[in-house]
Amino acid sequence: MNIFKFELGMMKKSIFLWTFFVPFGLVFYMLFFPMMQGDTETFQSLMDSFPEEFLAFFGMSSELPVFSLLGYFGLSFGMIQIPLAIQASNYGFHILSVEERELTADFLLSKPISRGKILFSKYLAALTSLTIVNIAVWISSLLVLLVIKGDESPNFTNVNLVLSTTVFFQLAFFSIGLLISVSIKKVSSVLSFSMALGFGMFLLSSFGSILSSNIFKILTPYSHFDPEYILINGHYDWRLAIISILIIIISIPLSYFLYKNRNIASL
Amino acid sequence: MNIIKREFMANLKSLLLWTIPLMVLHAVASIEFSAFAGDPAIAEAMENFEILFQALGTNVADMTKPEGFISIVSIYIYLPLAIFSGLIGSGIISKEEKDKTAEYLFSLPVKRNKVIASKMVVAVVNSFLVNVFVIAAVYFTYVRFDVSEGYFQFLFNMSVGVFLIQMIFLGLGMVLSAVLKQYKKSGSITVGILMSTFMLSILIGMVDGKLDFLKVITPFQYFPSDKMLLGDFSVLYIIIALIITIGTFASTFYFYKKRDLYI
Repeated sequence: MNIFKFELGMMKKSIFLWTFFVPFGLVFYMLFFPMMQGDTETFQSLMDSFPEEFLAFFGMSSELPVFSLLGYFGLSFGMIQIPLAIQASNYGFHILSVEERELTADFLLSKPISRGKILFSKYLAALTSLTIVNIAVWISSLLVLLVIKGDESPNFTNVNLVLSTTVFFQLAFFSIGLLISVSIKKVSSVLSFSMALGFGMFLLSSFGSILSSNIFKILTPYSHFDPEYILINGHYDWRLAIISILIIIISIPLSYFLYKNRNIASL
Repeated sequence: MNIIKREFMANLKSLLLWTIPLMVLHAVASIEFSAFAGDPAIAEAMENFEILFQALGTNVADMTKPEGFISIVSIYIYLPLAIFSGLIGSGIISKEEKDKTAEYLFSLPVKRNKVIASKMVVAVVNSFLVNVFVIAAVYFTYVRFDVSEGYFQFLFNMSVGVFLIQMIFLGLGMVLSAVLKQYKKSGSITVGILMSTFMLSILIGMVDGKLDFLKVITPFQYFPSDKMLLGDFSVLYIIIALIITIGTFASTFYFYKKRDLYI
């Protein structure tokens, strides 16, 4: 419990900043929706005149055009996933490696607590902070949708379903980060690692959608929880989502095992 | 010279770790591209499709041609290279304090300015190398398709444009790690600025025309790929980029000289 409290205290500022800026980004994006609306009818008739395959090729769908409220929400949420992924992988890389980098590992590990308990407390602390951000995103999404919906009546069940993916999405990145940080010798700079993971995966997923290639889609959590797919179909893309969920489940015993046997660098 | 060599070796690993995956990524994309390169059916469909894109306000180049395809995937050149430069800029200055080697380095008989100048040389050279290698990889992987005469010129323009953007973020990273009291923050702030300008740039692209006044604050909109294809460099943005670059580089010297090092 002490470690949990201490870690949360250390993360206080970071939690505060992320809880403020991520929802702010989403709201900022969503507020430009009225500008998109414009000439809806002309767009719709144009969209209708093209076959579905062509639209899919360019990441558009006649069921969910970008100028509809939910289509635009899907797009904005897709953008918000980038900072969420970076935050989660940041915590994943940071939380165990920081002790070795700042030479506090000796102190912590000589306390009468098992390594398993240290890992568990830190995991919980990170999960708590990720959940705080998650809740903030959830509430602000619903609020901003209510404010700008006008006379459209969006399907809130699907919106909630999209928002419910956040926890898996965050944990997938967190787990990958954690696993890498316990399997390599030294995490020299957390930021380069988490940027590479968060943005690299985003690049892969957008490459995947431009080229409509399935190999890219399997690799990256961004495609596992594609908001547009959920908004159209009303359920998760389970074939892909299961990959992320497996990563999360497997990573817990694996990182425990690796951390237990880790040769900790000390002074 | 010693510091330059030392820094170059210290940053070689990250240079390779960025350059090689990016080269591979673009090579893989070109294999996928070969599936529809020059396909007349798609080209024809694209022509019909253009009305829709114009209506949506986006200008999409013909993606059956190498130039068109490259400009669609060009964001995956702009963004990673900008991130690389931002990170190396903040990392190369602040790593002495992070690794507790600042005390050692600054007790050597070398002026602080000279240390910073050497580090800058390495950061600029590394940014340049990544740029050249990635653009060259793009050049050589797409040259086997049916390229037009302006192909080399297009990639050359893009290389220059991306390099100018890289310098902006490099300078930003360096000046932040020289100014901020806590060395740890410089990286996060650089990345924060980079990410928000990137997201803003996408938003500007989406609501086309209505947010153009915001282009000035998003370096990603200074030299977009469709302008590079036409060889259309905006003088205003070149001047802004140069002012930011020179300003940040110069103030790095100014602030670092007075810096109270964290030891």
